[in-house]
Amino acid sequence: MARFSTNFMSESIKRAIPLEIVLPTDHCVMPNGPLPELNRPYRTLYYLEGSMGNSSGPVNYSHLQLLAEDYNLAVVVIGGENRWWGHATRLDEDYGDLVTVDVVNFTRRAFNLSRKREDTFIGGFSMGGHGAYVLGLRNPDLFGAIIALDASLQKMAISTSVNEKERWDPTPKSGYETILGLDKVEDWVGSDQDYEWLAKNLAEKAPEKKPAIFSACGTADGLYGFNQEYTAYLKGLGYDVTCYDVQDGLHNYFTCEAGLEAALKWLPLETQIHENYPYFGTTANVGFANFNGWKTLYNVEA
Amino acid sequence: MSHATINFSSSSLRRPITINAVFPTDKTIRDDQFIPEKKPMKTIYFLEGMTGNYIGLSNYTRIQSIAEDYNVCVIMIGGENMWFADSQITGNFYDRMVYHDILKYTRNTFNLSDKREDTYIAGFSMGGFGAINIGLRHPDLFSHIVAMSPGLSKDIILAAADDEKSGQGYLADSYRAMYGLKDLADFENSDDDYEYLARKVMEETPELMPRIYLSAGEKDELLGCTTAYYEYLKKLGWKDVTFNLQKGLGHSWQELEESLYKAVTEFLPLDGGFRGNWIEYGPEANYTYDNNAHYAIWYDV
Repeated sequence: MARFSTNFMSESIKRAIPLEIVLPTDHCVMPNGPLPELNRPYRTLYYLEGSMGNSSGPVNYSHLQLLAEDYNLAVVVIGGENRWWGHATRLDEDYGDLVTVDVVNFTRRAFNLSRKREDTFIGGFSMGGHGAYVLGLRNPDLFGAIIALDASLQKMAISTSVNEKERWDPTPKSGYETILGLDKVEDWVGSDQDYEWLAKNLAEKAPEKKPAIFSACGTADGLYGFNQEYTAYLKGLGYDVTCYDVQDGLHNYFTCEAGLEAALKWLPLETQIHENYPYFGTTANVGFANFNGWKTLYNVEA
Repeated sequence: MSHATINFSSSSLRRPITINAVFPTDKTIRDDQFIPEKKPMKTIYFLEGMTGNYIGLSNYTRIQSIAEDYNVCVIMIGGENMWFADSQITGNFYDRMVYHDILKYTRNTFNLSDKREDTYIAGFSMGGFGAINIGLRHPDLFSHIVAMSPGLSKDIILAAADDEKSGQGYLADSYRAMYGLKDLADFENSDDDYEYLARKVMEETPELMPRIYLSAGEKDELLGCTTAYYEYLKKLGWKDVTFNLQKGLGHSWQELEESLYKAVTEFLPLDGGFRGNWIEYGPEANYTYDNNAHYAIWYDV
């Protein structure tokens, strides 16, 4: 249950920022059960939190860590400070590079994480889902798959934002212009922060690099329609898209987790720990009879 | 959503210990809805199981959302595999660590209620055993005991040998050291014997009898000892004891979370005011902005 809550120095935003990493290295395993590939750098999911949240949210509010340990997956959790992962050029900060440059490089140097594209995934909930698409499509050499959970696809919100207070979206127009480095919000369309433009651009320029995409959304989530529209658009461009509906799911962590669970089954992950001594799910049974003979993964000889 | 990890000095263990805590103080509320009264917080002192420490509940369950919805502070405590016992042999006092060090420290540091009716002790597995024992040893401090899949292993302890590990993985000598016993047989009617402690409360301080909630999973190995204890308490004439069978589940984090949620919603006298307001836990939660709705953080109201 190794969970690192740390602060690390980010060059892209010129200050320290909190980060959480969960690693399955000390998962308990039963001696005669199947084991994952040992001594192998971890497959990693870079997980982006939603707005109004930070890096501590996902592990605290969901079973993310249980799932990650069962699938032998490292997860790095990043909060976006309500900045929509944008090029905040006016403030000389970049919240996209924060993730794709600083967090990726820092975590790969600090932990035993795989540097292969097919082992590296980007995902997120709500604003994090928006970020997973934007950063995933803009960095096809880095990420082999994108996982979007109830993604808050902000095209409409950004383009119709106003500076008056009485609107449903608390970010005013000037706020979006600042955090996205735009002279005016209209310039977002067709930019390298526009997830539609990015999808089309990649499909045209380097179709062989298209990442695999998993999109989950609650059917009762207000964002469901936007997600259906976008995944249809992606399929039209030739992307490999798997859609997962969480029946009657609203915009909350229960829905997010249902989507995440399905996404992890979809990813090319090792399932041996899940079969050996699962922590998650109705088959989990961490009882007394098992106390003699268990080992932690880091002590098992390859 | 405030979550803290605190290291502080324990006089019972003569070194710092670490606890986790979640506080609902910064809860999001809609300012056109019910605002819960601001007063010293109700608290659940939660004891973790074997092989775990203070991080289990935070990492593996959604305790934070539950606590926020029910306006309760939760303090999470690890037992260092020592079954929450005071031992004159090892010189480590894990009972006192909880009822004295942690209670006093948290009440002096945070805005927690010091009333018995606002103070609850809970635990899972070894922590369930601890919740029962600490709760029954100190009925003046805790009004409610929530014991989920408690490791009520008296018969395993009494049958332990010096040459073969018990089902819990201990040799007899480890039990003697841990419980501070010269003879293992002295466990019977000791301060760690949950049957003796129940009888003692009934005889000496019946007016302080805590309300007890017990649960276990259908496929849980500890189902037998839990139902046995439930029957024992009922036979003694315990005023208020509930048993909840968790269908389809074994001894797991999900079993713990679901059982704890039941205890919070149906058993503990908590204030569900936030649930009518902005829900954090459950499929009906909905973290989206409403047209023209105004939101505040509780400490700003």
